[in-house]
Amino acid sequence: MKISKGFIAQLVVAILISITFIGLGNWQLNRAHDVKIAKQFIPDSPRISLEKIATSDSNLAPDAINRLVSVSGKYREIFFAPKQPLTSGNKKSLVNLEVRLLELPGNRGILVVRGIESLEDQEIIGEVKVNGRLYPRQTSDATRAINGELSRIDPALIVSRSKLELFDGFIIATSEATKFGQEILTSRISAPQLKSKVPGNYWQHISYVFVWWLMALLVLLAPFYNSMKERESGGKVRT
Amino acid sequence: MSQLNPRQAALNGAMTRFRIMAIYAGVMSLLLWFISIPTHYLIFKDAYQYLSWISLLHGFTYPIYVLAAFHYCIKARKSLTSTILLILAGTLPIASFVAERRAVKEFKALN
Repeated sequence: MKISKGFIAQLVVAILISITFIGLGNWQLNRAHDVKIAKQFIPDSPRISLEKIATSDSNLAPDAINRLVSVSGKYREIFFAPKQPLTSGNKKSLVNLEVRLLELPGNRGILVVRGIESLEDQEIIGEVKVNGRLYPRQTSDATRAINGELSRIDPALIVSRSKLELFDGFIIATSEATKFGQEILTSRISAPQLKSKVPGNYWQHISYVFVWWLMALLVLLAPFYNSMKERESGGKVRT
Repeated sequence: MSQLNPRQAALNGAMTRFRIMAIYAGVMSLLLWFISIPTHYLIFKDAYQYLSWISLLHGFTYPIYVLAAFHYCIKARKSLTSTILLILAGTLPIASFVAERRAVKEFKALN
């Protein structure tokens, strides 16, 4: 059987497209894996330093979400996040939260939810050690925000006004202490483990894996399409 | 039902499978594009947990449509371009309905 140059070119193109589709399938497989990790229950101990599981120049890794973290720095700015949903037992309510920008050594920063907004700003000077749980950034607005308010707790909202390199996500503080070990008290909110609300998401991504890999297989068959048609019809075919 | 000629008889099984899957894929695409995706991204995120089955089912059954369309195209001796378009029709709302109607028209015209 003589193989034409045209057929070889078709085959090379098909292989390249097929590799791309396999890559897209692998990408969906990785996303399915990430979703699985996000849904897993992660033991709350040991507490880990924020810098060990996150960096200021990248998105929050799925396995960093829900981790209990500790971080030290100085509070720089105060914001308020109005109408944030708060669940206490079976009760759901909307509260205004106090959010502060914590500056870390190395010109970096992270948003810290301290607790429920109080009438007077609590002045916190000097280094603070914060313990809390790490959460991914919020993606939907809770309300319309005015100056000094955050419509959602998302570092992207303050990136233009801060010179700090911001960490993705935010921390809900469960305790704060000064560098002398003195605890700072405020109206804290609970920091439960975040659970995915979308059941079946893992299988959704797996289904896309099958689709992409099937497409890759079909693309590989494309150069042989005409000969398959010939075999089907038992002779020369129209194209 | 009228008598099928030999070419129609040879294509009948693949054609029936393709028609069923084209209509199914069309319905699923409509649900996905006009109910599931708007609910997830525009309207009310929490409601998506009750509708996630749409994208899940569509994802797992679309390969069946692809295989049915591919088999039909081989049997019907379609060009490669037509085959690709027919496969992609399963991803867009309405498009697979149009593809199904065209296939029926071509099937009836076979002699």
